[in-house]
Amino acid sequence: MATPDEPGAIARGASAPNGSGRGNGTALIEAEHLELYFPVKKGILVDRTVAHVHAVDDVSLVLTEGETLGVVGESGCGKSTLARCLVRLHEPTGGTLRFRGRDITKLNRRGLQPIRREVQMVFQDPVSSLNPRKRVGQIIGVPMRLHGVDGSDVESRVRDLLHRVGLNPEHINRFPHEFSGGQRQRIGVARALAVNPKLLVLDEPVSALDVSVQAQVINLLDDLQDEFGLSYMFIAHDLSIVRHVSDRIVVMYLGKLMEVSPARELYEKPIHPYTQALLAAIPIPDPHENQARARTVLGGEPPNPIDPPPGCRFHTRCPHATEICATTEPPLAEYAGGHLAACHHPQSVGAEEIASAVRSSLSPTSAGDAMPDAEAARQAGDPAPGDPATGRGARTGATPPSPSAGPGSGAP
Amino acid sequence: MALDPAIGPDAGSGVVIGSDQGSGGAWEGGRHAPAVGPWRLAMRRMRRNRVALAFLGLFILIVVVCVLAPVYSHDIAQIGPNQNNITGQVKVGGQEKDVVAVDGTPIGPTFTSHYFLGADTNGRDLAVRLLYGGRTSLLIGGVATVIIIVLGTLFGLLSGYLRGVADGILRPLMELIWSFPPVILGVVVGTALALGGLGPIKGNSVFIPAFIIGVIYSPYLGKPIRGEILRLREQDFVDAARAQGMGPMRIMFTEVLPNAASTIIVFIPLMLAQALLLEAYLSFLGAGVQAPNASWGTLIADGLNYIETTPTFCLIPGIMLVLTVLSVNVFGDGLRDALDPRAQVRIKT
Amino acid sequence: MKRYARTSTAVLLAALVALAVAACGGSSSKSSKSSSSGSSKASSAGGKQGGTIKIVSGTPPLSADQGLDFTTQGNELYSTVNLSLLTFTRGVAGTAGAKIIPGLAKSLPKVTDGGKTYTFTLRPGLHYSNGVPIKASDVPRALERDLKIPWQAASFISAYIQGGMAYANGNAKTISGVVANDKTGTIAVHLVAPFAPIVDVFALPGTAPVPPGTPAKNLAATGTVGDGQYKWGPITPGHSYTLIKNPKFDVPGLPRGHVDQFTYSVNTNVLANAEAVLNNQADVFDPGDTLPAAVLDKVKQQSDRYQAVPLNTSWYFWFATYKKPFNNLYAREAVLAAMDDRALSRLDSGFQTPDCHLIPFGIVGHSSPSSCPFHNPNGPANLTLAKQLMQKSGMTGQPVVVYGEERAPRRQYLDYFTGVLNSLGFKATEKVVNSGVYFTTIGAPTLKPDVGFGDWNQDFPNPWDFMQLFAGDAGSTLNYGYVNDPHYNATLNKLDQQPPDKVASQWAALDQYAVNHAYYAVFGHESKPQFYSSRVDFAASPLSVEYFLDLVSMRLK
Ligand SMILES: Nc1ncnc2c1ncn2[C@@H]1O[C@H](COP(=O)(O)OP(=O)(O)OP(=O)(O)O)[C@@H](O)[C@H]1O
Ligand code: SF4
Ligand SMILES: [Mg+2]
Repeated sequence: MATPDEPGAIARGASAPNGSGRGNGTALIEAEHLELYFPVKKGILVDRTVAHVHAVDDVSLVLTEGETLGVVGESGCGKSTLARCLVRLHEPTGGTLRFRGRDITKLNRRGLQPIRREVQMVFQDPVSSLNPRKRVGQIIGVPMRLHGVDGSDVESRVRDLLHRVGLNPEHINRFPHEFSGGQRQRIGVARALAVNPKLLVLDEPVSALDVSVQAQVINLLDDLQDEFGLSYMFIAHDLSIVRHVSDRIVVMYLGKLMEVSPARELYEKPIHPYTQALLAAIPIPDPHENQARARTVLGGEPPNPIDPPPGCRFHTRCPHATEICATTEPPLAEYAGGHLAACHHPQSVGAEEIASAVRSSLSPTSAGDAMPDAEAARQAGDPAPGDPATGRGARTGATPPSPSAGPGSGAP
Repeated sequence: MALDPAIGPDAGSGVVIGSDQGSGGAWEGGRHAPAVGPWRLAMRRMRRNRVALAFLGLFILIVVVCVLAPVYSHDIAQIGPNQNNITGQVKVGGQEKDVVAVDGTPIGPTFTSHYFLGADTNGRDLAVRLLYGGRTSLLIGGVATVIIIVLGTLFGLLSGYLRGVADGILRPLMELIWSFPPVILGVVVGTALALGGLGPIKGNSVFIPAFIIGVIYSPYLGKPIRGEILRLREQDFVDAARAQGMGPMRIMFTEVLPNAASTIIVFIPLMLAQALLLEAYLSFLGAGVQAPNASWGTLIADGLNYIETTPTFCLIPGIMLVLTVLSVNVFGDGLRDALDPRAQVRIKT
Repeated sequence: MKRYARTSTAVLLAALVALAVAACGGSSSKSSKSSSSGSSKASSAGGKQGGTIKIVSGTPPLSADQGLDFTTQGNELYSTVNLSLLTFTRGVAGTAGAKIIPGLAKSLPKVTDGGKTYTFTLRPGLHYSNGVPIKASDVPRALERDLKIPWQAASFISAYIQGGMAYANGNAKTISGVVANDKTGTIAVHLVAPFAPIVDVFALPGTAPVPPGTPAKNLAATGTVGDGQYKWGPITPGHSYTLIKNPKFDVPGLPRGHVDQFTYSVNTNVLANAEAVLNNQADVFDPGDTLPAAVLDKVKQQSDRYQAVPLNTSWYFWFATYKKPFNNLYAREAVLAAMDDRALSRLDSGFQTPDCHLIPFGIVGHSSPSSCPFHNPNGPANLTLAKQLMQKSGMTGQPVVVYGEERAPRRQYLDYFTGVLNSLGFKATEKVVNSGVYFTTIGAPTLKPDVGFGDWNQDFPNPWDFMQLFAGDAGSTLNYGYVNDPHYNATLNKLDQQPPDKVASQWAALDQYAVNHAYYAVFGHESKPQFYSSRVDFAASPLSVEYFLDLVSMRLK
């Protein structure tokens, strides 16, 4: 196994995503031990840094060409921050960021210019992401001009893009406030597409939208992916949305990766207790099933990212936590099929699988070497894959929540 | 992508890749209304506000009358604003009267073309001086407002958007200016500059008070603009612009500034009113417009000596000032309501 | 001029003039005959005795100590407390009040040594208000004290009396030029050069003796123990001053005072002061203040208790005679011709008496306004002549900056004068300077102003006090236009060795010479308001040309 310190080790060591038709395996973006600590400042005359928010803490991941990487986690876990680091809206405070193998961690604005063409972002809030004082034509046209599209071509291309994203090209002169939420998000997508990017980072692109509109936008994204051969990083705060769009899913908690897995497998075989909790939080349309389901309810709030707990970040809320969890940070263990999880007490896996797991090179530097103990798991009669405790395995992929089954509608 | 058929085609039909665009029926709103921008909406709201428009009319009237001061001076009163006529005489009701009596008492209002509002101690025509004074006051107010807008916007924009070093320098500077009572600061600086001038500008130039007022009030705009910019820079569209590779200057001026524009515009009449008032204060205290030139402030000060005998000397420039400031303020209120119905832009006085 | 900035500089100039005179060798002068001191009888005849009078003033004296202060306000007060060797005639209006009579001295001084030695002899049996006898040696002590504090007019001592400068600089233990003999009661004063106005100096309260043990520092809150008709009562510096009658006062031939007590209250709101007197809530409006225009009409109606009294002041504009455009005689003459003195008088609410001469009416050497060239002061400006002169000068279109004071009516003068210059074809702009710093500003050697306003209140009624303003050979900071005329300088240095009445016509000629050369544009002499409550005996309480308020003569009805 390559040591994490060696440049490129992660990219080389990372296994290509599998279980999906997309993705040709060429790494587009690689993050190595990426860190973003926001300084917390205090002071009357001169600001002093008194602490740091560990928004993204030693995250390593690879996004390959053509794939859709879902990112989930509770609010505040650092998803947006990670996304902004990847498109270099933030300069990471630590770690390395590569785009097509090239280190872009510290590039200045000029140096980033070519990368800006290839990596674009769609924002969470369709209201604040569009300049209210600009017409749609300008919003979409400006990035084109910025990246060298000839002035006369711009308008026809804007119209074309509007058409592509399902908007009336005649509305080119309208202002954002004249559109509905879903339409605005389409404008946001059109703007991102204006420069013909390779990768779209979608920061909760549908969270602010109505459920029915969510579907429209997701379908649109799906179509565009096929049409333009895009890669997506798709962020969501719950698992119900990403499962439909993602090839692989990353589960984040308090700035750290908890689990990385091919999409389908995550639902069938969630290894990390936090993932299980997230899955349990998805409402089920059928009230009986909903009641019958044994729910792993997450108590309380996530800890303060200014002062994250030692050991496993999740141990303060984890139902399976033991002593080691509070002291030793678990490394990312790589199970079969490119399924990674950072947990001392992995769920949904048998002792054999545990025994055959290896420490992933994506593991945080600070993580210990303590791999999950297969013997202990065997003695404890570790639940088999697809354990009813998760209640989800059998249903995955069969009947996803329909648009009408919004949150709460399943409650008795 | 594992897209579920249940969501896709059904929910998206008619919207996604619509085949009927242009037919007009399928689009939200159903018709191709011309794009109604925020400015146009504001104009509409403004036009409905009759009171504000009436006061705008009053303000324009005052400006026009004052701008026409030379015409009145030359063709009607036939005396210049600074022309002394102490031992002269004027015909009132067929009688020749001293413009300034032997004991120094100037003539009161004659309501004729000469000395319509009376004379001052130097035998100057007060009506002529009132109009010229108004011209000076309005010029200073206008120039000061331009300076306030430019400086305040630059302060706010640079300090709020760039933060860091720019904020570290500009913000304490603004706070420093802001923490002084404007009148005291104005009198101190005004007195100093009236004596020494400012670079190539001579001490008696009206641009000195204009400059002083502009600088003094710039934080009154700069601070709220800074707050506004701080808020705006956190908006996702700024990040979107950065993600597209736009430079900070371009973002500041083309993305952020247009969004602060309505705030700035709302401040224009407010700042104009403040500038007019401060000009009057400073001139009243001798630190503004320098003799022999008049402004409403100096005329009020001159008239104060006659408050018991001829109160009109003091009252008329005072009324002009009040009317101007009032009209600007009422119009400003209307403008604020029109531009940003929710905003609570108020200035500390 | 009883104002700090002006006096000290005036005196500095005087010192240098004197040095120049000494260098040339003074001409001989005769001692002025001591006139009889019986000008006023024991003054208890008629009128009410006793009572309290309340004076209201807009400006406080700088101190209650005559050893520091030389303001009009101060002099009004300690001219009653501190009697000097000589004094001015009291109880009379006009020029008569400029007459110097013996005070503590038996008679006017004996002048010897070609005008360089003045010898005074004390009257016998004099006492301070606390009963301590007055000795001859108290006089040099008072002079030394003046130099130490220093007195605002201290340079009259340091510049003209031998050893004065050395003492002022700390180079001597005593003033060598003042020799007192306690046995004989004589005080001999040796001058560095003949200087006739020294008798005026010895009539100022600042040169009055002080008892032994009086500290040589400013006694702002108590004043000094004096020898005059009144002594200090309670003092709140800057706010109120009380004078109480000194029952021990007994100097033959001098009035003893009528009123028991004076209170002098300071209120910067002059309008309120005027109204208080108008309503009989206060008795005396300090003539050092200007009556505000707002009450002028009402005050003028009180003819039985108000009048404007011409005092020894001159108001003028000066020219920078060494540079363009006013180095041109025609340009200056044009300005004089174009001025309308009546207009200027109206700007001062009629308080100016139009004239072109620097020496005012109340002082010997004054000439009649009818001798004014260029235009008649009591008539309109001579614009035709002005235009011709301007044409001849070729200075049309020249830029000039006119300096003036902010205080009314001075700013109005400035507006007027600038208008005159502009109407002549100059490109004149104004510079209004705060009154507190005006004279220091225009006197600063770096400024070199073109033209500006000036006014001068006498230090003492002597023509020298006015004519020295334009002495050109001494680098004066009062000579704002840097006038430097050899004939003028030489004449001034000659005349100041003589008692003024001996050379009155020569003073007048010098004044006329300067007017003809348009070195200054005097436009009038200001009157001061004599304005009392109805309680005060108006006729018996005239203003004094020297003291303004003559409190010793003042009495109630
Ligand atoms: N500019 C910033 N300065 C300081 N702290 C920040 C900043 N941006 C984010 N944070 C903090 O970093 C942590 C991660 O924030 P982030 O926005 O990445 O969360 P998120 O996972 O996107 O949450 P959400 O689902 O609510 O969007 C939070 O604690 C947040 O308060
Ligand atoms: S390591 Fe421990 S605390 Fe963390 S998730 Fe696993 S069991 Fe829970
Ligand atoms: Mg977020």
